Amino acid sequence: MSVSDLISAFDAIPKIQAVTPDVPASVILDAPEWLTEGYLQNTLRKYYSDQRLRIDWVKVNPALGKGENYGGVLTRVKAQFTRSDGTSQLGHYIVKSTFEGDEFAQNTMEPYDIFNREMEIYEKVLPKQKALLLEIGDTEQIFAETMAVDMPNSALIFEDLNARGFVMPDRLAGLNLKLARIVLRKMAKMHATSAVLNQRENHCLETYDRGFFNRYTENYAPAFVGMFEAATRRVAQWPGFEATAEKMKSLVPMYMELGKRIFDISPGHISVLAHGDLWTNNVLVKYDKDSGEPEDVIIIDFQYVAWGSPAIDLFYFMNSSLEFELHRDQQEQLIAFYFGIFSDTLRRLQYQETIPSLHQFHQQLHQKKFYAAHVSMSVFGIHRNVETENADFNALMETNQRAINFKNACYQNPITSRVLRELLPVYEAEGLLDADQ
Amino acid sequence: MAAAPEWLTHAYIEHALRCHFQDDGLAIANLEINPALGPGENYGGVLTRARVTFALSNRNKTEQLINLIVKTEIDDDELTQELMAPYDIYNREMTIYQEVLPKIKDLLDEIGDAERIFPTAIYVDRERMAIIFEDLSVEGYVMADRVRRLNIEHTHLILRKLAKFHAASAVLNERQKGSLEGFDRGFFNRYTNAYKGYFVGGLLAAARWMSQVPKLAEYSKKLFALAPHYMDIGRECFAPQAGQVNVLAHGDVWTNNVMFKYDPETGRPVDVLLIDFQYSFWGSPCIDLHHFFNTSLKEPLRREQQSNLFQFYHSIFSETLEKLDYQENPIPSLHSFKLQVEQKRFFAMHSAVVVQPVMISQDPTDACFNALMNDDERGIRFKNRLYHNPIVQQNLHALVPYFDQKGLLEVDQAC
Repeated sequence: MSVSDLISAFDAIPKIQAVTPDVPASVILDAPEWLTEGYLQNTLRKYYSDQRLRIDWVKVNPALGKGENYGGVLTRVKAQFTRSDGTSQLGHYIVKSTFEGDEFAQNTMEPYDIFNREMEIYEKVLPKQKALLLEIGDTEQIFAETMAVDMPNSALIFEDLNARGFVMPDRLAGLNLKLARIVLRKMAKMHATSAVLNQRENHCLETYDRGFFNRYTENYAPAFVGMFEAATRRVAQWPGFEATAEKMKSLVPMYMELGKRIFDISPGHISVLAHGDLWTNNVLVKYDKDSGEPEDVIIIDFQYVAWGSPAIDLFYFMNSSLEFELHRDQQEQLIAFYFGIFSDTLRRLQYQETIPSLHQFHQQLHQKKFYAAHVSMSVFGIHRNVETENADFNALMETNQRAINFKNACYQNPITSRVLRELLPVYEAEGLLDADQ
Repeated sequence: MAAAPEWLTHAYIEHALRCHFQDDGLAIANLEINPALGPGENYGGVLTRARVTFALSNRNKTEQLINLIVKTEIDDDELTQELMAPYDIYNREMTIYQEVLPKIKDLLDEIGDAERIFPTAIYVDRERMAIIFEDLSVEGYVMADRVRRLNIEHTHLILRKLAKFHAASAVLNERQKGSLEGFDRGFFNRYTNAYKGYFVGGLLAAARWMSQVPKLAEYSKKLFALAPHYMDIGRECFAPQAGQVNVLAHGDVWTNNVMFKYDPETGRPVDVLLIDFQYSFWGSPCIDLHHFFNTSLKEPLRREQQSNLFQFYHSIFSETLEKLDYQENPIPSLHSFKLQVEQKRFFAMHSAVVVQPVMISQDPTDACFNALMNDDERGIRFKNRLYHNPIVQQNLHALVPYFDQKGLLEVDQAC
């Protein structure tokens, strides 16, 4: 028996604890079955490299409600623990794990491989991007620090940014200009560092080719095309929009292919590792407690990263997450803002390939503009849905009556309707509703 | 007014009509000659009106009336002539009226489209650099007000004709195995920078005014930096792109280069004809559209409705290409076409910032071709004055930030 074995053996003996009325009993509610106090203790021990660390109590409960996250299970953990040096600490963590026991969900999501991908990104890619920024003296934090990556359980454990004052912005309101710019700044740095990383490490990021639209699976078609068809049904009810609705109907057979073309690599275009699902709920905001002004942002949820055009993130973000006037009128300006930081960061990191001019960059994005239409027409409605009772993965991904009703309900939302009313004519004039675009 | 050329005589006109009607016995009974335009109205030529009563030889001498416009080259000073020589505008226009436009008309006739797009040239004289047209004003065609500019009705009429003209030219070029591709001397070309005094001079005048305006000062810096690269960027913009549908662009589509016919009862425009093909060149149709929209449209049509106007143009353009069985390149989808529109957007910036102030100026002081083209004291004063116009200032306030966010004020935009 080694010394460390002996120590572990001693530790394993239950200790008599002095009864202190202040120390609450551990509470674990509605969590994955493997998420026990013992598990958490082991995790903390590993993270702090302290084998004698001991948990005093934990409180575990679900983190989100319905309609807030279609990508997995989020569990909030509060743990009081004592380290080997005697110091006591209160830790806040978020555990992100896969759906359990829902065969339909698991089968649908399987080809997108989102859990493995996210773990890989947190473990291997993001830290390198952080290091690149540090190289040029940029210490800005863009994403959450990972505590642990648990491959067997398909789980990620992060520090709970809530405890640091980061909250989810109002999903239904849309971000204002100040917040939009903070997000775009972070997006620009993420994109730039990914392009440089890919170059330095032998094109290692180019294998990420399973974003929302990809050439391997159409499993999400019921969600995207289903929502688009619900939009078409809604639009057909509006006087003056009959011709538009007809165009939309004719677009249905081409819809998935048009989406896939966005994710295809276009020769000569600059490519980055796109986040893939960058919208309000994947952005955590720290507001100043006195002024209420947004101060900082952390980007989360890297399940759908894909190597490709920055348009994937820019059009997704701008057409889902902004206040209406910004969404309708200011996208070009926001792209110019993003581009200043993107190109500057690329230059500072001595990116070896051609950096397009702003004018050329606009044109590269313009070729992917169908994605802007797709997000406004088919994704926005999901994000802004207010009828959360039936808002779950199945309602999104199935084609039964419940799913159809859910999607129709999304388009009853007046905000979503307004987006369609005001932007469909714009998209039509751009040729984006044409099947042969 | 510029006096009628001395060689424009009874005998000359009689000869011209004899050639046109192919009747050696044609005889002029009566002839009235008068100058047609005032100063600053047209930098492209001297226009003279001729009212002619004549009889054909094979009729029982019944007299016919024909009203003619004679367009001749301006008798410029030597310096200007030298400056303008490489553009070869008179020869070009004669070639186009003589050899190109009739064939375009034939092509459109082929698909049953008999709509008149341009006037017919009665006679072309290469020696004297003169073209004789039927006088459209007698048929009721007039020029619209270049200061008040055009509304959507006028615009749709022009776009329809332009779309058909462009499409037919693309097909003509295809059938004649590239015959129109030699037209490569538009405003920006690789042979000469002679318009630099006007273009870069205007850009700098705009920049000088903007530098005094707090909201626009940061943009003026960009324009100053852009100036040395301006002609190169323009050249690249004018260069035809392989794989796209290129056309014989008119080259100078604006209010004064079209003539409208109005319904005498309602006062609404019912027809338009395109004139003045001096700067035509082979290239993207989007260049004509950017120039037209940014020099000649009323607000808010120019600022808010361009997207619909491009769509309107595109549907007729692509339809005509299809009817004429165009094969050489893929006929662009609307989305593809909008991409080209953005690709060529530099010319929109140029037309709005540099050209339009000249077109809508009401200040006749120093208004002459010399002041426009030159960088001397008078030229600089003239251009500075263009930017005192409150309408021009309003336009720049609205449009410069828009062009900036598109990256069109950057030195590296074309790279």
